[in-house]
Amino acid sequence: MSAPHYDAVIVGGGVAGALVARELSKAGRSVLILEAGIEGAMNPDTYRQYLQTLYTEGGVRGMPNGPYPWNAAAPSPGIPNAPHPYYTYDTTMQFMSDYLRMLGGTTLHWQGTSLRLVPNDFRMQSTYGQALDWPITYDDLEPAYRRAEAELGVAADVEDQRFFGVWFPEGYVYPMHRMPQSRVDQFFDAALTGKSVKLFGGNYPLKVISIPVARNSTPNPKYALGEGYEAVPAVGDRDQGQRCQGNSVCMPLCPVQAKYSALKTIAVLARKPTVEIRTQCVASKLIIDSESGRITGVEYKHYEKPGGGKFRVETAHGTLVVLAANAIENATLLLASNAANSSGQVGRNLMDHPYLYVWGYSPTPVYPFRGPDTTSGVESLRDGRFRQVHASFRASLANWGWSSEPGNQISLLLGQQTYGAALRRELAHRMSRMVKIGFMFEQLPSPTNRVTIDPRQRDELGNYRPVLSYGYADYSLKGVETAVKTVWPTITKFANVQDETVYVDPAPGGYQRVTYNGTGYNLMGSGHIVGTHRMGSSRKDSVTDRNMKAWDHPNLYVVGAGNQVTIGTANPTLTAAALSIRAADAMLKDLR
Amino acid sequence: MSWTLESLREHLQAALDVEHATIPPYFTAWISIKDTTNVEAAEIIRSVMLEEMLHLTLAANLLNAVGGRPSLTHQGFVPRYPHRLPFSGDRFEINIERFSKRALETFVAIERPEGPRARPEAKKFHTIAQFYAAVREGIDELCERLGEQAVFTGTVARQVQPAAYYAAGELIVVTGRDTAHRAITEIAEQGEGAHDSVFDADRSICGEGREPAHYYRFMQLVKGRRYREGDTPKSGPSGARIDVDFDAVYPIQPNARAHGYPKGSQVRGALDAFGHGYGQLLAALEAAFTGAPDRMTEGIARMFALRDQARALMQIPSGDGKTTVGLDFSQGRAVLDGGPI
Amino acid sequence: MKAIAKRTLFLAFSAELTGYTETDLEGTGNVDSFLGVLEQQTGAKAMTLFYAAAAAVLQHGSAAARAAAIRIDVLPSPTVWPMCASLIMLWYQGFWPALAASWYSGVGSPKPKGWSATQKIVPSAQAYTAQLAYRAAGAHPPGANPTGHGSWSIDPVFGDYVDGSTS
Repeated sequence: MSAPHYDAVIVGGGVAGALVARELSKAGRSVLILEAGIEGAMNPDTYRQYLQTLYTEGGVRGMPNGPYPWNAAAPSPGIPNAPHPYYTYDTTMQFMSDYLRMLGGTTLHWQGTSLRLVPNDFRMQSTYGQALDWPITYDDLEPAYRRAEAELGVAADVEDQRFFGVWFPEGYVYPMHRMPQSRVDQFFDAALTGKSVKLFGGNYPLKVISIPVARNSTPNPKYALGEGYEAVPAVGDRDQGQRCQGNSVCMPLCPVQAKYSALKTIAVLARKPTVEIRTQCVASKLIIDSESGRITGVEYKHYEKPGGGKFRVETAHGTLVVLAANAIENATLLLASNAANSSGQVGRNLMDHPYLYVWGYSPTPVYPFRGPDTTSGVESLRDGRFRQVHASFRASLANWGWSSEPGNQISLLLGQQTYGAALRRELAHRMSRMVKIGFMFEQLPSPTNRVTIDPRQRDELGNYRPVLSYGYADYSLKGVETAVKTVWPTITKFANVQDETVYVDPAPGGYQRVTYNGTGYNLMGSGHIVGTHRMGSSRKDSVTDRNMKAWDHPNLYVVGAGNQVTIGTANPTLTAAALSIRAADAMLKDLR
Repeated sequence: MSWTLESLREHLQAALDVEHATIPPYFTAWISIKDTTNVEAAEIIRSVMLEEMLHLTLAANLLNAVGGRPSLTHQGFVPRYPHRLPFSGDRFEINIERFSKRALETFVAIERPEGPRARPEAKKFHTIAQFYAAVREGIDELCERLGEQAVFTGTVARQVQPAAYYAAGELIVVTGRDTAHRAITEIAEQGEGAHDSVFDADRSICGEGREPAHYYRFMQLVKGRRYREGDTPKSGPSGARIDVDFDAVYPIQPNARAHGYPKGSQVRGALDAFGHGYGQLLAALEAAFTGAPDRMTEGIARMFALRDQARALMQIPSGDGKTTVGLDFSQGRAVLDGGPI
Repeated sequence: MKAIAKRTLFLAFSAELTGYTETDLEGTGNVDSFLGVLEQQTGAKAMTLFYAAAAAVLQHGSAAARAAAIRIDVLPSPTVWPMCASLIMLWYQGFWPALAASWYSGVGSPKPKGWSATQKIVPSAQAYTAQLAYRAAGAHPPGANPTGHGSWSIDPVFGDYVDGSTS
């Protein structure tokens, strides 16, 4: 009996895997997607159920995996009330970012921010003497960025986005116009236009710029040379989700699917006869022919129930094998299979964006707690000479007031026995003027920030769980210090904002305390998991070539944010999507 | 009868009134369905309501295109319910009432397709589509007589653009006879289906198949099954089952009247606030249709705010121990007439 | 006391405590549910004190007199005020925060089944979606009652700021 053979077996049903499958199947190729998690949100009834869980768990807002269930067969980090954590550590410093193992993947709970990397992000070594240069440039990736923006459905105006050398071809417009700007954005824009801040290397303008997002806004009739764009509604419900309504729970789940998730791509794939999608199939080992290095099969564990430890071992065969399971899971699988690691870089160079809030009161009401979590940021510090000495960063303007609010203020006021009309009035007075900024810092690749495996750390199916080593280098912490001690005070001065930032010690849940130059900061992760199977120009110091093909195996591609050599200050999903598309182009050449 | 530009504009304004008149009843039925229940019924009613809003906007585009000025704020624009559609042969009344068997029967009647032998005749219609067919003939006659340019004198700047309207359906910018025809066809077919078909022409969205016309969408709820490709008006629906639970709705008073509650009472205040909000919504839409397109954002914000106000009114006891208060849309008139609330 | 009298007192006192009208509270659909949570979490003994305090306050016609009565009879009460505070949080944020172990021993009532010091009981999805905390600010609870596309780019069309009376 011969097992079915696919042109490509793809491990991972998230955005990277979906985009590869889309490109391959468009060209008539046969594809098998193995998804470790359950179908989950793909089913409209289950989607509604997760939304109800969001409500009955008191919102679990800001907890990315809030409404999603624990799956012992394919555990995800950060599931509420999980019986045990998924990560284990070799360091005291923790890795604060989560992902989701379910069909659709982490794009179910992502914010939707779809920034491109800026040109210098690709050449940090040549420009600033930091990190390494990528084997490709912004120019090389630009066409794939456009294709990713098409499939994800990104809303932005090119006029806003041309800075730091980011360029677009003549006539290009994003599929949709930028998201309407919030009153918070308008406030900071008015206060900061024409203003600048002094950092290493000179004066840098403070510019409020709309954030490109994969969230439905008004289609641009000029898109695709006048063809226009039709906003993709919710999967299975054409009357929902054509516009963001301002539910503001992109994280953890958009109630109307105005935000892109990989489910939108998968829904189309599922209708194609040459695409097979199997959920509840956890890839556990790559079977390698020792002579040729070819991956001759993907061994996976197929479970009927997400718990109980029962499974069947099966093997899938493909001309090509594509790992698209996210940067940590890709690394874990490669290490478990002893694959692709002649460079020793598999699992290394794990990066995230350390994240830090500052907050205060605006002088007049700006009416937050409405709209998407963020619609604009101070984007003008994403590049500059200071990167010779410290991290660059973005500053997202928050539309939802301060963290843990209005709950904290209510508790404070009740503690003072303020009730009734006075409570209502005072609470509204405070809420209406809450402004907050989220700083997102770049982190340089470090060989000691890494994913490893340990035979003592396995899940219920016997698969390896990731063991993480993680920390923050001075480069990033100096950026943190600059943001808090120089940039934020400059902003509060120009905007006449009353600073209320306090970093309590010990840090509250979800944050971790870091001390630098005698000052304590409470940092979070951004959910941006990057770098663990980086691309490069040499097999000596990278895992894949410039097209995401593993140096060590002629038919293995490893795709996703793990390919990134540096993280810059762009949320990685758009780049991961572009890299996946670029990789698929190379795969099609291989398959000819 | 012989058409004039004046009579054409009057008819198109009447079209606006008619398209609007069905929106409060659909809205009320939709909101009355308790959250997480009757999911298909809620989706169907909401989708039809959204398309009536599209028709309203198409009618505004048509009226603007022929040099008219859409009005949503004149006396009588918001009808008093129960209401008979102006040319419905007086066979049935539309109520502001909860989702129920009676409401569903009313919706079916509103959207009933024209029979094959019905002739278009202004001033005496059995269906909305017949009315539009007559309007189309009027446009053709006037273009014949006066020339197309003399008929379509409106500026394109007044046209609501497709991007501004965003539920399913195509918002057509009307600039001449052909686009006017397309707009009218869009309205007629979304309501009643292309002739002899369950579906309106060919609007397949994202490869997910065509949507049945409004009449057939409601018939799905009556018959308890979805239509699918291949079904005809004769064959009936053969798709997945739809379950309807008429008990899982708020027990609102039909056709609530704010002035039935004492002035100064909290319930009266809540009903007045709802009507006031509705009046402000119509004012924002009218502004958006008459040269201030930015007011559309305010219109949308008011629509969403009214949803929450409506849901609250549907849970406030009316005082009789059985029903809840319900909705009164007509108080908007008091605002628009400049009178006190 | 009859059930209907209890409900009436509960509703009127909730209005006093939250600063929203009885009609606002009825409109949430949560009156009966929240009364049930209060009773279940505090017990018969404490509820007797609660109703007595409520009645004592609500007998006064003017807001000033009621406020004075609350200042004298409710705020200093180690039994009644904490109940009020948790009740206000329930109305404002859709969850009941636990009363302290010391409160239960102070009243002389057993802790309810499943009690924990850090618990946040959300009685229903509707408790969450009808949270009052956001209303006055012209806003909405995350994930529910969205304000519409683009609404965040203009001033709120509802809430306490609309007529320009608050700034």
